[in-house]
Amino acid sequence: MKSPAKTRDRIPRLSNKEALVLELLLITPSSEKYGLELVGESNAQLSRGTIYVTLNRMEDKGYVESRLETPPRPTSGLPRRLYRPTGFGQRVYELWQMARELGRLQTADLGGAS
Amino acid sequence: VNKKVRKDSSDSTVGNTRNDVPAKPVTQAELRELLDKYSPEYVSEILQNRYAPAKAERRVLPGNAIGEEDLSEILATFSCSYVSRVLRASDSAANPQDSIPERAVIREEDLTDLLNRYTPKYVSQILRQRLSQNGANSFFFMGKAHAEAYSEISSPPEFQPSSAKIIVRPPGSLLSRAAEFLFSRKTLTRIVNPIISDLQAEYFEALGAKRPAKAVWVRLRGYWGLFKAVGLHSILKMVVEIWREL
Repeated sequence: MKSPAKTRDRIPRLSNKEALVLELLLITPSSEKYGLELVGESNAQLSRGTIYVTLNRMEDKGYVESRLETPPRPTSGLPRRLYRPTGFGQRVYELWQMARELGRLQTADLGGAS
Repeated sequence: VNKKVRKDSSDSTVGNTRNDVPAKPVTQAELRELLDKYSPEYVSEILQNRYAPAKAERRVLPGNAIGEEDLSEILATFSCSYVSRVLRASDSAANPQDSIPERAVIREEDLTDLLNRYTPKYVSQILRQRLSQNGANSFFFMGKAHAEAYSEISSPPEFQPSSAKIIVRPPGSLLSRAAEFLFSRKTLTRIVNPIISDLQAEYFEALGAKRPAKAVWVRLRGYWGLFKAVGLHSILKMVVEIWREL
């Protein structure tokens, strides 16, 4: 079991897939989306089989939050789970974008120097 | 009408005679017996008072009571239970808190939704089951046309499935039940159920668009997505690799 200090000092990590999910969710932060909607908007970068595993992991990390849709759809069946980004997720995504830009600048500088 | 003895509220035997009236709903035989003993106005008044005791002084029916001819005609056309409910509903309209429970009443949009998804015969069976569960007599209709519809629904022809597609259960429902035993609650609510939910939504959309081939494809793709998501494919992959090593 991890100690609280280690947990507190842990740097948030964001994989490319998670960043893509956050990007799609942050297009309209106030609205909620379900997994299949994210898959459809990702231009085949996300797959049906893995989207909910990714979302589950992101929810554990605190990047997104979810709820079951209410009221249920007119057709019968299980209710869908809707996801939206948290404030923490939004900040992590913004920092991730800044870090990526810095990386690009560094690559460009190194390329120019050589 | 005048042959029958009129008992009004000033009669000293009112207390006892009111107790003679059976608890609601009265049967047709009981009502006829009451009508043989008392005037229709008096029976009507007692019934109304019993059904709406808080509003005992109110006379809600036209002319304060239905006449004998009217009652005979009504009873010849409708069941006694139905007449009792009409009487009660007349009072309920003016006294909303005494409204009749609507548990057996199906809304129009629900019926339309059912008819879009199932055959009329199947819908009829569902309604019949619901009526029998709630008690057929509790079904409430206001009018002759509805009463005729009630008689049709009460005794529909024996259910025979048509050749049309009938969705007995949505796809993935059995899988969802099985997953309850296999996975944790968290995995179930966050991974398995959302995938099944998407599968069902896409499946119904495909069927709604009259594309059964796509529905089959959606079903297979949904199962495969679920299979991938829960990681069974990696277990199988590992088993295959071990088998090849051997």
